[in-house]
Amino acid sequence: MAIRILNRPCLLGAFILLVGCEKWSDGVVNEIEFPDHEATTAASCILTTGDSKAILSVTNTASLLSVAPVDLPQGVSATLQHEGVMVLSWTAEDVALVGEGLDVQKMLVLNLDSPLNLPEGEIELTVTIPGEPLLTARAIQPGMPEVSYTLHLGADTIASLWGSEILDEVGLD
Amino acid sequence: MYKTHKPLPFWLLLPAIAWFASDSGVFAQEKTFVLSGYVQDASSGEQLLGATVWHKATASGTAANLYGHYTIVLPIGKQEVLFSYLGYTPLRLEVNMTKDTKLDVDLAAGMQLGEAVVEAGASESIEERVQMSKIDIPVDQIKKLPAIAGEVDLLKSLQLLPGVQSGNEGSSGIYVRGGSPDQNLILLDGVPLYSVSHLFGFFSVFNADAVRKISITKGGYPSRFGGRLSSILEVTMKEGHKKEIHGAGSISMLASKMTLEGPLVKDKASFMISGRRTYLDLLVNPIIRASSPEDSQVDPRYFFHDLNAKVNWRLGNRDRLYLSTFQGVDDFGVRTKDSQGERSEDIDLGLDWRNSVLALRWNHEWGPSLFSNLTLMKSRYDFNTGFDYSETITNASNTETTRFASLYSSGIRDLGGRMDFDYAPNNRHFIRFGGNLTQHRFNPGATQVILNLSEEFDFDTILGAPDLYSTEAFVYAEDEVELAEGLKANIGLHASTLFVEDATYSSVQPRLALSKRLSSGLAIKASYAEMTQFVNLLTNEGLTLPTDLWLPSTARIRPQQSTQYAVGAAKTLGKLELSLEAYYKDMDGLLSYKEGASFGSAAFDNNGTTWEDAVTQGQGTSYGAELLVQKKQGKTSGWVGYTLSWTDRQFDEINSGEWFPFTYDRRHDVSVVLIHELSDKWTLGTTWVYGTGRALTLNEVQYGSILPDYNGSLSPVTFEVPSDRNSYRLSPYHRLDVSATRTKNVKHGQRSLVLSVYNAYNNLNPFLALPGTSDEGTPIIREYGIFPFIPSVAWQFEF
Repeated sequence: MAIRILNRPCLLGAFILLVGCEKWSDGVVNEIEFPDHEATTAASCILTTGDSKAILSVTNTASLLSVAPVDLPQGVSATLQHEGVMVLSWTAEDVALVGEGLDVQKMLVLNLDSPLNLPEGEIELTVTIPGEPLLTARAIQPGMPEVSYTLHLGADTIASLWGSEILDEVGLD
Repeated sequence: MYKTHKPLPFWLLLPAIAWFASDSGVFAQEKTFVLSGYVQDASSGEQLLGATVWHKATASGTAANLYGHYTIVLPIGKQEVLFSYLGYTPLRLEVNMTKDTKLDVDLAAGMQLGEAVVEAGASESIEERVQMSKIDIPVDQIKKLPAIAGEVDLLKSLQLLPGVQSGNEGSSGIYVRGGSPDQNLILLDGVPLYSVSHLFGFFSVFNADAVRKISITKGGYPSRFGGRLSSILEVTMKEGHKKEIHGAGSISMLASKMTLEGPLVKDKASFMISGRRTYLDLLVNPIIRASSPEDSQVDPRYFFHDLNAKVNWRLGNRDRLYLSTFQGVDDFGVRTKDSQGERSEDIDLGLDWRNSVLALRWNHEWGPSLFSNLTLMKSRYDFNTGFDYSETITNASNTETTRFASLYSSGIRDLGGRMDFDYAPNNRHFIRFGGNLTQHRFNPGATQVILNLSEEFDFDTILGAPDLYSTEAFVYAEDEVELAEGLKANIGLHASTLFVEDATYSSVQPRLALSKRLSSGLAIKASYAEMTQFVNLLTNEGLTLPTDLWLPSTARIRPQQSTQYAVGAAKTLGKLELSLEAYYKDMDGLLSYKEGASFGSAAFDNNGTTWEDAVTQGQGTSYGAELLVQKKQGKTSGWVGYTLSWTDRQFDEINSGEWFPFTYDRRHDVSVVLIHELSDKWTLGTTWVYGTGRALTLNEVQYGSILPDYNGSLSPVTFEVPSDRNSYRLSPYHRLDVSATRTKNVKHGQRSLVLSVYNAYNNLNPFLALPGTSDEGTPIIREYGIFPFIPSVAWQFEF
């Protein structure tokens, strides 16, 4: 059979073209070897004065070719200090799912009794994972800018691509 | 004032000392006269550039210059001189030298029996040339090579040479000895061309039917060249048949082209005009229009066309005038018109780029030994992209139109002049000197925003950096000198200056090439060249696109500089030319986008930053060895090339300041090119290439984090961390192309049918790599190619 196909250049051409099209759409797997990855811990926390929740993401790092997804390590706890004074403390009991639908991840979530107040100064995040070295990150919380302004609601109306639009005006004092 | 030159190494003075010695009593000569003139094709009257003139009695010779003009000094009395050129029957003439003599010589194309073997030295063999790292490929040979879509591409043929690499699959860009695309000085009839790509780089702008000669110099640059670090690519257009009208054309799957040449005044003036256009849009548009709804009209467009034209005029015995031009346009976009009741909508979006070159050259013979050429030139490259939206509402009382357009443009325009002199005082010296002045105007990217909402609201402004002007000047002098028997040198100096903004850069670049012919016939060669480059192409490392920006060195951006050393050996074995070269090149002032920056950030950021904030400068090295075995004529011709090379780069602000492999660092690169004339009717061509996979950066590590989403809520995200720059490799590249050409002689010329197969064994070479998932659901890296097995057919004719 193979010999018969090879004897007919048109059939051979068509066969090569078909194989070519399949390769073209699916791509070709290149067995690229990634170096062994030694997992470390990555922690992220975004806080704003006035927040009612304090969410802390802590995951291990993983190779991009790893089958296992990145996840919250077991028994993780953390603290946030402002100028050496404890402000927030997460424990292993504060684990909750953050996100919607399929895009969810386990994180440490604190529901705060009162809105968060983070004045200017150094803040320090410390993450503790059993059996792992302590993870510490420091940042400077900038001072809150003080601005006074006057708001004129419905100060102007313009015609735009989307029809007539009402504009408010903010005047800095 | 910035001085960019280093003190000259002492050893560079040694050849200069020998140069002075070369005119001492050792080489004292008897009474001589000068024989000069042009060597030309007997049939067409076109000049034969590089033809060889050989005087056996004194074992001295010379080569015709770029205009076919030669000068040789001969002893008094009757002398036998041999004129030869590749593919032409050598001509032996007896000349009675009683005074300085002018002699134009006609050579007949084709080899006659008994003339195939001429004495050693009669043709300028590879070991006779002082110049190293320079390769010529006969255009006729290139035309017989397999071509994708049946469209012969000169630059893709150059990619098959050692030391010259292609970029991505199908790209016509060239990377020479580890250099970037902007480091190639591409001269079309002596005028720099800034973009050589059609169809997003898949085809080059050079129409093989309009080109007479193409050569590339990869190192050991003579002083007359400057302004780029990595290569000089010289493309010379045909002059046109001086005796009768001739034409050639072809119809391929991609484009059709037509060339016409002939005399304007017989034996005195001639013309050549050649045009090419793609027709995919002409074929596809009627189908798209027919399938569009009645109230909607879609007009996609993609085409490129180019035009080469040249006129030359012989003004008496001493003067010749050449006027040549090239115009190339690529246009890609779509226009959609919709109308519903009183409302109609018109959207036009797309991009286009265009090149134009104009050169006026005047050759003048001042005397038997002094020849000059004056070139006045203009070169321009423009890139435009954007969209234009308009809406019209028509009712009984009036018509209201609103318009919103964002039109981006960038480009470069050169105006300049250049004067070159060739002076041959005797057969041991061939001196060239001259100068160049060019004014550049750069448009570093400007966006015109038009917002026309009503008669009261009409907004039209241009955002972006203003045009930049710079003036570049250089002078040079070089002498190709025979220092001793069998020892030749080319010693020269190139001094250049750039005036830009409030900065002035000056650079003195010594150049030296040596060639020693051993008694075995083997030639040992060495060269040293410093180069400085004042213009930069801001480009994405992985892909050359028309969006790439040409920008000058400025007060903040220092010029690029390189120093290249090369040594090599060359020998002719029968009809085979062999050369082996090793080189080392270091480069400084290389320009790259900073991590995370791109064309978009340089073009569209209007927060007070400029393109200079988006780039960083660094250094690079490239070294390696190249082997070339070439056979230029005969029933079987072609070449085999092999390159072993290493190329690395370092930027303080990229890859944490660590050295990393250049994207086109290619350890092994092999090319085999064979053309075989089976009979008068059939010619077979084949090329096979192999190259180490392209270096690339892959995301290696992932971790979870949080980011505010569109409404400010914190949501989970997974971040990926890239590997060290270019620490991975795509799979090796290899491809076989084959072609068969059937030629038939007809009453008024020739007809040829060319069948080509690109990628004959259908190896899907990687174009890019993306993470994916295997059939088993495990993460993998998958490579995608774009060109599978592609058969094509083209029909050509000549009359």
